[in-house]
Amino acid sequence: MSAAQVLNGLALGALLTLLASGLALIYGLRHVMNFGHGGNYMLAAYLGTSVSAVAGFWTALVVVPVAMFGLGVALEFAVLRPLAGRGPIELAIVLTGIAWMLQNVIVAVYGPQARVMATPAPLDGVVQIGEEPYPAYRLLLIGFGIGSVLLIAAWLRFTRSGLHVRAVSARPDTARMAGVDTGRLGLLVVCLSTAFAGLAGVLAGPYLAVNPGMGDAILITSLIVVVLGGIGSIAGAVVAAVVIGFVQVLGDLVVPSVAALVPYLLLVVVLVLRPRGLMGRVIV
Amino acid sequence: MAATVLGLFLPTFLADPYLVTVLVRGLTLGLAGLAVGLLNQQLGLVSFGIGAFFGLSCYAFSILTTRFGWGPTAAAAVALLGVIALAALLGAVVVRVKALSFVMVTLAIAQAFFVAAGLAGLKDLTGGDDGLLVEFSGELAGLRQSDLLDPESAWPLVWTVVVVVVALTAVMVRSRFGTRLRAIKQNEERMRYSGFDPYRDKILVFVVSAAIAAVAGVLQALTQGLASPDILGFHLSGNALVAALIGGSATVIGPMVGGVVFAFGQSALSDSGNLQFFVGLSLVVVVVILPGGAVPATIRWTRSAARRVKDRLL
Repeated sequence: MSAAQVLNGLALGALLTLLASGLALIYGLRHVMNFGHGGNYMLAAYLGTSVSAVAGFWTALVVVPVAMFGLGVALEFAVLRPLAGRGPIELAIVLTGIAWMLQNVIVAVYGPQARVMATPAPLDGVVQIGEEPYPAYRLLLIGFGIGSVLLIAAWLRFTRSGLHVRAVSARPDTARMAGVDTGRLGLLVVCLSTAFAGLAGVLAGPYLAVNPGMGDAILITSLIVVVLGGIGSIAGAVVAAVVIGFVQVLGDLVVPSVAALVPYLLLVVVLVLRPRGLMGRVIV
Repeated sequence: MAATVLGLFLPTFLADPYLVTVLVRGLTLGLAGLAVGLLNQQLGLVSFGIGAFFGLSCYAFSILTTRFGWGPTAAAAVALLGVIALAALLGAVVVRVKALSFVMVTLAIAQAFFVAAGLAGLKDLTGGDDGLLVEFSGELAGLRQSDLLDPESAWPLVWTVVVVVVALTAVMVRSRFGTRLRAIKQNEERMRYSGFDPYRDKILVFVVSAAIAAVAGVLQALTQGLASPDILGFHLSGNALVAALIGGSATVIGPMVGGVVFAFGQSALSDSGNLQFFVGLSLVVVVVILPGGAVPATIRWTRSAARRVKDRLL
C-alpha cells in the first residue's frame, strides 16, 4: 500500500468521521438516529456551491456550517421536540420523509444535473509525497477530519457541557436528577451535528460530485459506520469511519470488481461475530 | 368471496384501460407493502430494504429468461426459491439486531444489492445502470409475454396471485403461528422462558415477508418487462414502506389499498416532477397525524361522519 493510498483511505475516512460522529452524538444523547443526515449534507454541498460562486470557497466553508448550525435549531424545535414522545423508528421515518422533500426542493431549485465545485486556490495543485504527486486538497480534508475528532474529544473531555453530554449518554435519569439541563444540551448536540454535516457537505464539494443522490449514498455508509463502531459510541464511530475508508481503498486494490460491496460484507461479518459493534456497550 | 370472483372481471367494468395499468402497478407495490407491513405487524420491525428481495427476484427471473433462455414458469420458481434461501441466510443474522438497527441493516442490504446490480463486472448479466429488458418465449399460465405486458389480458393472473397471497397471509396471521409472533412482539424474553423459540419464528416470518416481496418482484418482471436498479434500492423500498404506512399494517388488505392509492397518486403527480416531495410529505403526515394508516383513519372518519349525519336526521 503506497502513501497515496493510505492518504486516500484517510480522506474518505475523514468525511465519514464528520458525518458519523454527528449521528453518534445525537444517538448517544437522544436515542434518535437522524435519517435526515444525508439530506443535511446534500443541502450543505449545494449551499456551498452557491456561496462559493459568490464569495469563494473559504467563505463558504465558514458561512455554510454556521447556517447549518441554525438549521439545527429549526430541526430541534420543529421536529425533534414536538415528536419527543414518539419511538425512534417513527422519528427515523419522519426524518427520511423530510429528507426526501428536501431532495425534491433542491432538484427544483438547482436542477437534476451534477454540479462541479472548483478546487480552491491554493490547494488546486499537487504536493509531492515521497516520489508521487498527491492532490493537495485531500490533505485539507484529512486535516479537517483529524481536527474535528480532536475538537470533539477535547470538548467531551475537558468542558462542563462535554461532561454533561457524557453523563446524559450514560445515565439520562441520574444526570437529569443531578441538575443537567438535558433540553439545552440536546439542542446543542443537534446543532453541532448539523453544523458538522454542513462542514462535510462543503468539503465534499471539490472532492466528490455534488448531485441530488449524494446524500442517500453517504447516509447509508455513515449508518454502516455507526453500527460497525457500536451504536452511539463516538470513539467507535471514528475508528469505524477510518476502517471503512481503508477497506474501500484496499478493496479497490485487491478485489476491484467487487470493492463497492466490501463495506456491506464487513457489516454482516461484524453483526455475526460481534453484535455490539467494535466499541459499543450495548448490542445493536 | 363474491368480491374476489368479481375482481377477476374488473377490467370489463373499467372504461379506461389506463386504470388497469395503474391498478396492476399498485397491486404489485401493494404486495411489497404487505411484506413490509407483515414484519411490522407481527414483529414490530420496520424494513427500509424490502426492495432487496423484490428486486432480486425480478432480476433473477429476468436474467434466467432473457440471458439463459429459460421458460417463465421455471424461472419464476427458481427466482422465488432463490430469494427464500437467501432470506433464510440473511434472516439468521438480521432478526437478531434491535428494532432501530434493523431499519439501518435492511437499508444497507438493499443498498448492497443496488450497488451489486450496477457493478461493471456484472453488466453482461444485469445490464448495469440501464437495467434489463425482459424477453422470453413460452407461456406462463397460458399467457405469452405479449399478453402479460398488456394489463387487461394479464389482469386475471395478477388478481389471482394477489388474492392467493393475501389470503394465505391472512390465514398465517390468524393461525397459532401468528398468535405466537404477536406474543414474541409483546415480550420476547417471556416467550423464551415459556419454552418457545422466538429466534426461529422470527427468521420464519422474515422469510415469509421476503417470499411475498419476491412474488411481487416476479409480477413486476412479467407485467412491466423491465428490471432496473431502481427496484433494488431505497426507491422501491421507500415506496413500499409508504404503501404500508398509508394503508396501515393492522390488516393484510391495508398495504394493498395503500399500494393502489400510491400508484394513483404517482400517476397523477409524476408529471409535475415533484413526486418525491409528496412521497416524503405523506411519510411525515401519516406518521405524525395518522398513526395506524391513512386509509383506516379515513374509514373511521367516514363512519363517524355518517353516524353523525344519521343521528341528526333521525
